[in-house]
Amino acid sequence: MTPFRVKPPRVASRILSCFGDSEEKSTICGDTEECFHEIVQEEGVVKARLWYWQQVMFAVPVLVKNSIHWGGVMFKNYLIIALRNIKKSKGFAFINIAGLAIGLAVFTLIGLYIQFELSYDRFHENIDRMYRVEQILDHGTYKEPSAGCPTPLSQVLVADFPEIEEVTRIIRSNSSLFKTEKDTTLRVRNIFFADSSFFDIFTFPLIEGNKEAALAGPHSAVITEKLARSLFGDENPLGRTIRADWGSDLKISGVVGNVPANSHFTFDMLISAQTLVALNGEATFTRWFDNWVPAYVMLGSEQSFEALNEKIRFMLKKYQGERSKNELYLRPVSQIHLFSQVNHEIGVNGSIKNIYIFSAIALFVLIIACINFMNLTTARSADRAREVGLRKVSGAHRSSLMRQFICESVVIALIAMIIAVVLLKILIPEFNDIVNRDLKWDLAGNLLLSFGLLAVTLAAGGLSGIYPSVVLSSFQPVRVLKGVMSSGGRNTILRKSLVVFQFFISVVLIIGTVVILQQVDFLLHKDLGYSSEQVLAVPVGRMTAGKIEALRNELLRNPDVLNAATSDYMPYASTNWTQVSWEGAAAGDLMKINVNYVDENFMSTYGMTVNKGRSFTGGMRSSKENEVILNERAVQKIGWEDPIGKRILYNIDYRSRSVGGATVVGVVKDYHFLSLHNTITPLMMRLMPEESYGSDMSIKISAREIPATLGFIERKFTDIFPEKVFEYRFLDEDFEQMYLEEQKAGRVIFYLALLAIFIACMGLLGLASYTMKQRTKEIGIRKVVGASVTHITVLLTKEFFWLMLLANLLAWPVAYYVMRQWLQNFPYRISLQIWVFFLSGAIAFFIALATVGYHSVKASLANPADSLRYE
Amino acid sequence: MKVLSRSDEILVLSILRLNDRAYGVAIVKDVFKRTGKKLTFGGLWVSLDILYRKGYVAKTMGDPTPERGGRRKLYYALTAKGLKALQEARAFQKSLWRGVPAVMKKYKQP
Repeated sequence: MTPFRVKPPRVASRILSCFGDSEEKSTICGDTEECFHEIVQEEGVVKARLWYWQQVMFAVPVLVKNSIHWGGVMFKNYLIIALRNIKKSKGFAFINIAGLAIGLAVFTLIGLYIQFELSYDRFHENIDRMYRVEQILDHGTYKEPSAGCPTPLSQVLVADFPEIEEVTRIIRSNSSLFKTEKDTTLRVRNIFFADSSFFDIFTFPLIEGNKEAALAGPHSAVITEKLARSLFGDENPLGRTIRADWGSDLKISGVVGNVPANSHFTFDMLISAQTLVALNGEATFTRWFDNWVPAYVMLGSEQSFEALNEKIRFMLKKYQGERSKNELYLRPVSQIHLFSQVNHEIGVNGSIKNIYIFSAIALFVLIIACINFMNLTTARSADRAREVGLRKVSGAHRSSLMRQFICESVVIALIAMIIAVVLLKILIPEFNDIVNRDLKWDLAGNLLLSFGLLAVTLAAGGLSGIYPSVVLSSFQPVRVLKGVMSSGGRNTILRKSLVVFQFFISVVLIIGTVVILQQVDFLLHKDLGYSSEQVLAVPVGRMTAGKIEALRNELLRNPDVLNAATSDYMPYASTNWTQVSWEGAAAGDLMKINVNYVDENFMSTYGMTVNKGRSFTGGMRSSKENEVILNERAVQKIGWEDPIGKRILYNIDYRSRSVGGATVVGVVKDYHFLSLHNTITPLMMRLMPEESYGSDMSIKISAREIPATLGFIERKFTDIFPEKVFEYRFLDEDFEQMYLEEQKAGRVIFYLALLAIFIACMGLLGLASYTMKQRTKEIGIRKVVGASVTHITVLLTKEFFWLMLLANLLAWPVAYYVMRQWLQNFPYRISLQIWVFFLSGAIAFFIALATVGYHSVKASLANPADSLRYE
Repeated sequence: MKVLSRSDEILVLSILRLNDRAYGVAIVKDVFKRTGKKLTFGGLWVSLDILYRKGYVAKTMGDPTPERGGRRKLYYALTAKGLKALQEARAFQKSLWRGVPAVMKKYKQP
């Protein structure tokens, strides 16, 4: 016989053999190959190959149609059997479906969240060309990434780089009060200064006004539809004037649609950047070493971002001098929300870490639900053994049996999906509350997610069906029909390890939740170096010292008002900073130092300790010499033994506009002047100048009769500032706000952990109840022979006890490692305590044992006469 | 009872003609020789599978041979039911043609 060296085309024969799912059917390949070799000998290899391909091409559609036809017939049967099985064992079906439904709902919810997070800023038409210029500031010993750029930068960018088409500044302003001609007064929180090119770059369509003129001149403002409604009702806002609490009149030159929730910054009002020049003088945007102006650029179409990024990197040398080590780079606007972690952000960003954490946990919840299905189905395999045997005897192939069981699990998954959709309707509003987002889901509108859910459902159903299908279809018909198969005794090792895995995940989640909650609690209650209890913050705006003094004196008449002080920034948010040098510093030795302007009562109101020297006194305000109080960290960094009387040197003072420096008069004990995400760095405090006084007033009150005291403060406030609106907040609220991200993450993980352990317990419940049923007779005999109820309960629970112990032992090191990594994000953090691990383990332990214990006790209390009656 | 379709009839006749050598390759070759129709093996299998499910043909597996890539041959044979269906088809054909040849003679060939 001639050897067959020529083989048929590999891909084609692979395709054809896909259809050879039975031995008979694989004869198609054999026939085709036989013919192929004949043609090779008669007409050559090329012709034969072509012929083979042609065969496959024509055969495939017919074969596919055939499989689908017969598949459909069988599928109907599988469906009926599946539904009958669900009906027959309602309890198990409930556990399976409920678990999967929760798993799928959680999965979709997290999917929705991720989708929303990824959609940030995508609504801008030119998003592919939009970048923010960010800066890496060099502070000598360390580098600080910042969204704030040198003030004149935006004016030179377009001229220096032809690649840049448009540039706009977006400068965040403090919240301010505005008053309309009709005396409606309103506080506007989100105010930005921007250039007229703003509307060329960003896609925020104007409803009224035209985009070229909207932010062109000084004192013009664009407001959102929502703000327009609250300020002017139904009247046309265009051309109207509003008065800001800093004294300027602004003309409304445009109305813009409300800012979408997925924008990385939210504004209620945009004021032309020219206004800042009009207010603060021509020099406002001229200083190259003032870094507080975020700049957004739009590149020309088809301009390379990488090339420009390289060019822009050291451009500051041209303006700041060759010695400048500050670098610029571009960040795509689409990446700001998830990836930007720079200082001086103009909005609150999300974090890619949360996305990773949430999706990992959602996946685990789903896996736990799938494991339930696998375990319960294989455990109960004996129930189905007869059916399998009979099907095999009537000629079912193993492959068709496997298909049947996979079909069954897919059916269950699909039912779960329908319930998940209903669950989602309930869960989404709750979830929105927790993560502070505005997620919506509509099945038809969000096709990606709807199909995603369907795909995950099919995958979950399919994958968790594979293992049971392999087990069930492997039964030998002869043995099964003889009745030799007694229980799901085989595969217990795998089943047990899956249970261990479920509880392993649950324990890790519980530990994670406890640690996060502990850390948040720690952040909220750590000693900050000052006392913030019973302190109110009341915005007063910029005022003369005399008026605020008057208010303070009035307030202190009430014995329940303990103290009051004004400061530029609240003590926990002194974000303003500058660079200073000092007496005896080497040339070029600069130090970044945060600055806060306070009055003489600030430190006493907050109970701060002045270690050396003295605190400010009111008299100092009239003194010619500038005076500062440093914190210990600043003194330590400079290296002064005796700081009192030494001089701090700086260029310009933004508030008093004095040049030169100041004398150190005191050292305050270190306190946390920023959130606890930051370590304590140098800080200097300066006395508020006479003419430019105010900002926020902190009022310390006693704990008695708080409502009455608040009423009193409000009355006095309106007496002295009739044109202002009295607003206040307790400092605790601000602290809550500062650690909102951690709290949100903590709560999400808490609920996910709850669901995970719930699903795992349901699975365990099912498994336990089934095992007990299997062992009814054994228990009966044991009781007859004289075992006590306690003895039997212990016997039945023992097995699960070891599983739980193993799950805990595995979970502890993993949780330890993961949570230690997480805590590394915080400069001030709790240490992981052993008891947390034991407690979390114990919680999982007892929930699980309670689940199993119930069935154990029930089984051991049963009357042996009942269980042995039929033997 | 439904009459055997023409394409089924061709296959069944071919199986009958090939007697105990009726397997995929042989049937395809035979059909091509008689009718000039090129069948694909996939299509053939599907058609014969339908006849098998109707009970007209039976299958037996042969031995694997090297020229088939080590795969077995699948031999087809007609069942009694299949034979009956074939005869019915023939009778049906006959009844359709009854009286037609006589009339046909009247038509002149163009």
